[in-house]
Amino acid sequence: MSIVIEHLNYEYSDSNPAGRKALDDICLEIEEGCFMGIIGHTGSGKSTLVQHLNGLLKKTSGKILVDGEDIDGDDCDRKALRSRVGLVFQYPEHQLFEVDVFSDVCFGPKNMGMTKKDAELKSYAALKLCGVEDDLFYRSPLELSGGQKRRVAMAGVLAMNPKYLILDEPTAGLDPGGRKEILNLISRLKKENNMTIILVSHSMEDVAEYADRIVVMNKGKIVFNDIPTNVFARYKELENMGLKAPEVSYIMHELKEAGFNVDDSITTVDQAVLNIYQRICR
Amino acid sequence: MIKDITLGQFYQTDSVIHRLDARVKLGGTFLFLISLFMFRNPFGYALAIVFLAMVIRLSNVPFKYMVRGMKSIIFILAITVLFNLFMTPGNVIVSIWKLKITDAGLKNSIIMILRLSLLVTGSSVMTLTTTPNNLTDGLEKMMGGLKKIKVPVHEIAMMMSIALRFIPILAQETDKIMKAQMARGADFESKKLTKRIKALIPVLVPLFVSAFRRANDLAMAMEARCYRGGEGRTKMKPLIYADRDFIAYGVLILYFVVSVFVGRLKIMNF
Repeated sequence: MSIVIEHLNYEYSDSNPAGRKALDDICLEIEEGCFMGIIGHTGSGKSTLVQHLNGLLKKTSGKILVDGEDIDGDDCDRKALRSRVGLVFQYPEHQLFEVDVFSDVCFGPKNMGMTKKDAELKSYAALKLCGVEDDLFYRSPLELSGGQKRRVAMAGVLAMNPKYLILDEPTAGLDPGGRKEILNLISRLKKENNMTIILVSHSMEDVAEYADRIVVMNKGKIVFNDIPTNVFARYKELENMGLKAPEVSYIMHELKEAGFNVDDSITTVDQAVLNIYQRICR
Repeated sequence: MIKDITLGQFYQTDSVIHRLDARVKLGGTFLFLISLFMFRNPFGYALAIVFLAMVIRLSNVPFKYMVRGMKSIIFILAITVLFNLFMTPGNVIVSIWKLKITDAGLKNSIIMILRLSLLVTGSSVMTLTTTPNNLTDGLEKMMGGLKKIKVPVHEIAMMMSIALRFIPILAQETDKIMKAQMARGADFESKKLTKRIKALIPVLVPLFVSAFRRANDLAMAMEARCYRGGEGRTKMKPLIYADRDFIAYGVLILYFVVSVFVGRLKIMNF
């Protein structure tokens, strides 16, 4: 089972006189159980792409199959689709509205038609999963810190029990500590709950460390779709698209050019430290 | 749905009309609107249409943008026409069942259509060719006299320009919030009215929260730059009349006098 996108096109409606293509012939398969990173410069179409996957945006042409079911088919249940493909947006402020954290998280499962008891059980489990402490449950969402809000927003989507979880820029605006926590949480969701993760980001570091496949988008097209090392090996092309490889891979390249026998395909700090230690310090 | 908001929309291009002083355009629009209500015969409207067509031509704004404003008033237009058509007493021309169309009713509806569409198109020429900032600057200057009777003219103008500036931002934000709630299964397309109203709460709460936050940030940013109202404040781009503005005033007054004169002649009177 997987999400399959075939020749997807999306054009802005007539309000844009240029009629610019936001998505141009996208073909992509997202396999179940994978951790896919989608990276691209601002305006490359990455957010537009993921909003098609749960039917928030209507494609201009093409086909999207979620577990073999055409999501634009007449018999497709939109609500069921949105619980299967969960989408967490960039700004938690855009979805927190209830008087307290707990009832806010209950909003999603209740919309799915769960009974009050089921919805509350799911919400409790989701909040726990996201590491939200019990004493925050009955606080107003507005009183929380940025990182806490983000966890609650994620819990709000996780409570609907999605099989695929899409996160649009989940680390934007967080400090390094908060970023690390959110990313660890995401990778735990994948490992322990066997969720398929699609992480949209423009931070190479985030994606390099966790994703097992990277899709690079530029001007509405998919440019690369490969494993991280292969993508970041082409860092010169990435730079032309306004992107960068992770900082550490630049260091490795320069070390290699300076004559050290290191592996320049390394993309994460931990691997780099180990590699440098093994090859140089010994 | 949200993209349809055209209030205060500005069409970016360069033309004689765009370069005119905002005060000329405000005054001109006002004169044009007044003239519409003074006509007593079709020739006045003919003149108004020709004049407006010329201004639109000069403004380099595609005609379809002008018409877009019309979409919003179609409903009002339809209701006025219906009422005028069937409710005006006079000589009956056509009668269907109990509904009677009279000659006076027909005339009234045609006048209404002409008036309303010229009204809307005329004012959208102004908003399409003037940036919101210029517009409020113009208003502030024109209302300058009211300062003497303690009307806070500058503050009103500032509030207007901030409000106009925030329309597109809030519209965009509404769109994002709706998407975020739809991703959690919110249903905005329910057929039941009560359900639809209830569905607005998850949108309105975050929208208000963010509007207040933005207002707070803006106030802070203004204060950080020592904003303290209109007292002693100078403009970076003060409105100064150029030759073309005086010519435009001349043309406008000429239009007004001629059209009102022709429009009130006692030929083919209404």
